[in-house]
Amino acid sequence: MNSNDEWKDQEKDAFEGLRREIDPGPDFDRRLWQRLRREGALHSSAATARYRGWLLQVAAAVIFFALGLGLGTWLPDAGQPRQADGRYMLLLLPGEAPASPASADRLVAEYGEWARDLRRQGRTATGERLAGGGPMLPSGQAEPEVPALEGFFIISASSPEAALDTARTHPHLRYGGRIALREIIATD
Amino acid sequence: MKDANSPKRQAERTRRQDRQWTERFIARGDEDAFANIYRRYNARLYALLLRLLAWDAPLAQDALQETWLRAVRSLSTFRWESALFYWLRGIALNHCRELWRAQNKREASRGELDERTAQVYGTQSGLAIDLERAIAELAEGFRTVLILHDIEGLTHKQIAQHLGIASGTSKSQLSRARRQVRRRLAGKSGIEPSPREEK
Repeated sequence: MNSNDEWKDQEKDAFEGLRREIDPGPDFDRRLWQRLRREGALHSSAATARYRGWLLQVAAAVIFFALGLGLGTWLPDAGQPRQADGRYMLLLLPGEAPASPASADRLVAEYGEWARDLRRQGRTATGERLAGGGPMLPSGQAEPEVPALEGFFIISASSPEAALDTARTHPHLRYGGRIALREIIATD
Repeated sequence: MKDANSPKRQAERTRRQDRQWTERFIARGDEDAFANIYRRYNARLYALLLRLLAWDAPLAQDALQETWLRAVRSLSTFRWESALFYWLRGIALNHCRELWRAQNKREASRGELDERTAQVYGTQSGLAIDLERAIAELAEGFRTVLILHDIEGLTHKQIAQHLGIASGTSKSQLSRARRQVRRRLAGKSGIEPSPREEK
């Protein structure tokens, strides 16, 4: 570079006076936060605290569940699916029943972590645990030959193949359970 | 403690904090951890994008949002071989280059440029506004090299790596960019005209 192209002191001062930081304004913050939440990338600290509280409640609920009284939820809310993703339901069918409340507790934690992993990728993942032994209609009587549905998850996936690949990673299978996968058909 | 506040130590502290916040964010999607990173770097990234995109504020805000979205999606792949801001700046720069390649640009009019620079600097900072305007009027390649070298403080080697050009190209582009800026500033705000202004 030619020495004549170097800045003179007065020009250097002018560069020094340029702002290195410019605030895009609070509207920008709000828009970005909304977008990150929609993609499932952000969880507020308050929500994290609520989740921990909820997990404790679930752990307690599992003890009741083991006695045939309980009901638990794997995740507090669903997250938002990406625009082009489809939704799929994973129906959890019986495998080996938890041998003790402690092992049921571990299942709940693992199933919840599986769903949280999906949510970190910006995907929908919500689930509910179901109590067993409910009646079948129209008789209104329990029918032992019908497999008890232990719970379900709703997830988002880009294709049926992707949903199947995701379902194969569910920890329910590692515990000898079975999963029926069904695509949810949008009706609106 | 001796040297506790040296630039090197400060950079180490910043890097350590950035890494802790990033790991918390990756592990739990922790909003507070992300907010710390965001507060530290957002205004710097916006200043960079606003200049690179010649003060087209709506386009710069879209680019800023895209920069953060890309960063969030790939934070787990960041290997900490450089400072976090260098990496973020690289994402912003790549996105700008994509916009330029796609011809997805709209140069701010002189009126918009005046209005936006005045919003940032106030109407009293004549020299800063004149300089911002002179930089904004450069062609994209010259503008980018000048911003990266003279405002962001990158070396020619770093610029060459970012832009995929030779170091010598960066030097010659900077030289021409400076001459053009000098020519545009000549006679304004008391700056003397250069004897070697580019015609």
